[in-house]
Amino acid sequence: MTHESNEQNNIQETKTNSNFLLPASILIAGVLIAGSVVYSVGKKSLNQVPQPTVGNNPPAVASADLTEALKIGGRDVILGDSKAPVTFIEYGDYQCPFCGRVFTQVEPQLREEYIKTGKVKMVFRNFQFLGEESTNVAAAAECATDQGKFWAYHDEIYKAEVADNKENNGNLNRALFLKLANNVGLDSNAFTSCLDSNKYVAQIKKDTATAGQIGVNSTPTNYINGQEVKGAQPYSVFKAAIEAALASK
Amino acid sequence: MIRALKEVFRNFRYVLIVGIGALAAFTFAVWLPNLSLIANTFGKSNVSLGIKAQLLWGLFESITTNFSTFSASYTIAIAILFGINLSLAIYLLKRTRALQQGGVVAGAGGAVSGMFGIGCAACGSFLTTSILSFFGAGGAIALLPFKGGEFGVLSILLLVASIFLAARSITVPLVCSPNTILKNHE
Repeated sequence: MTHESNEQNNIQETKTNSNFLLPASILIAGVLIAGSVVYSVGKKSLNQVPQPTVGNNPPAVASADLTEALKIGGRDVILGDSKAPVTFIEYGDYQCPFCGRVFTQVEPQLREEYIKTGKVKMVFRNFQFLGEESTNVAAAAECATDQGKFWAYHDEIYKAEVADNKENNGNLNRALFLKLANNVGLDSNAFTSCLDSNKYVAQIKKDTATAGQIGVNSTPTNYINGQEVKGAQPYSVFKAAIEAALASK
Repeated sequence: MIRALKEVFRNFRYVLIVGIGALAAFTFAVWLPNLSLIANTFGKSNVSLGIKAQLLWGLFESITTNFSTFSASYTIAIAILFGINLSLAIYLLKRTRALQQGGVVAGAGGAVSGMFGIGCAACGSFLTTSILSFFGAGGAIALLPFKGGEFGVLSILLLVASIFLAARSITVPLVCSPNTILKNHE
C-alpha cells in the first residue's frame, strides 16, 4: 500500500470518528430530553398515580380515589361560603417558608377578591413533614378547631412562623401555642387540656400519610377544583387557575 | 477564552442565540412543576387568552416566590451558561462543516463532539435538579445537604468546562496536522 493511500485511510478514519461522535452526542441529548418529556407526561398523570413519599412506599391510588380524597369532609374547616363554585385546597406544613409566602403574598388578595365574594372556598390540610414541631403545632390547631376557631389560629401560627422564618428551632412550643390560643380568644382550660392530651398527634400523622398517598410530596401543594398548582406561585398564577375553574362552571 | 468569546459574539446572531437558549432553559425550569396546569388551562376553549397569558407570565414571576435565593441564582446562571454553550456549539459546528466541505479535516469536529458530551452532562444534571425539585422536598432531594442545589452547582461547573473547551478550540489556529499520519508510519 502506498504512502498516499495510508494518508487517505487515516483521513477517512478521522472523519468517521468525528461523524460518529457527533450523532452519538446528539443521541444522548435526545435520550435526556425524551427522559424529561416522559417525566413531564408522568407528572401530568401524577394526579392519578401518586408518588411515594419519604420512608414507606404507600400504595398508588387511582384518579377516582384522588377525586374522593379531595372531597370536603371529616375535619375540614371551610373558609368562605361552603356553596362557592371553586374549592381551593392547600396541603401545607406550618414550618414551610414557601407556605408562609403563600400566606403573606397570596392569601390576602385571594380572601379579598374570591373568598369574601363567594367565588372560592378554602380548606387547609395537613402535610406536616418537616418535623415534630410541625406535627405539634398542627395538633394545637386541631384543638382550636374543637372550639370553632381553626382559621384564626391557623393565621396566628403563620404570622408567628413567618416572623421567625426558621425551621425546627424550638419556637413552635407549648408556650407559644397557649399564647396564640389566648390571642384568638380560645377557652384556655379546654385548649390546654386538649393540647396536653396529645389527642390529635396521631391524627396529624395520619393526615400527612394520607396526603402522601394521593401524591402530595412537597408543600405547598394546592388543588383548585382538582387541578394541581404546585409551589408558592405568585398570586397571578392562582388567579388564572381560579378564573379557568370558574370559566369551566 | 475571552478572545474566543469576542470573536463569536462580534456577530449579533450568536448573541441572539444566547438569549433564545437562555430563555428556553429558564422557561423549562419555571414551567416544569406546573405543566399539567398549563396544558389543562390551554386545553379549555372557554378560558380567555388574557388569563392564559397571565398564567404563563405568572409562572415566570415564580422565580421570586417559589425559589430560594440560592436556587434562583443557580437557575439563572445555568440558563445563561446554557445559552452561551449553545451559541458556541453552533458556531463551531458551522465552522467545522465549512472546513469539511473544503476537504480539510480539523480537530474542531472532535471539540464539538466533546463539548456536546459535557453540555449534555450539564443538561442531564440540570434536568435532574428540575426533576428532583419537581418531585418535591418530600422525596430524595430532602436528604441532600443543599436540597438538590448540588446538581445546580454541578451543572454550572460542567457548562463552564464545556464553554472553556469550545473557546479553546475556537482560538486554536486551524491547521492540517500530519502528526497522526506520521506516527502510523513509524
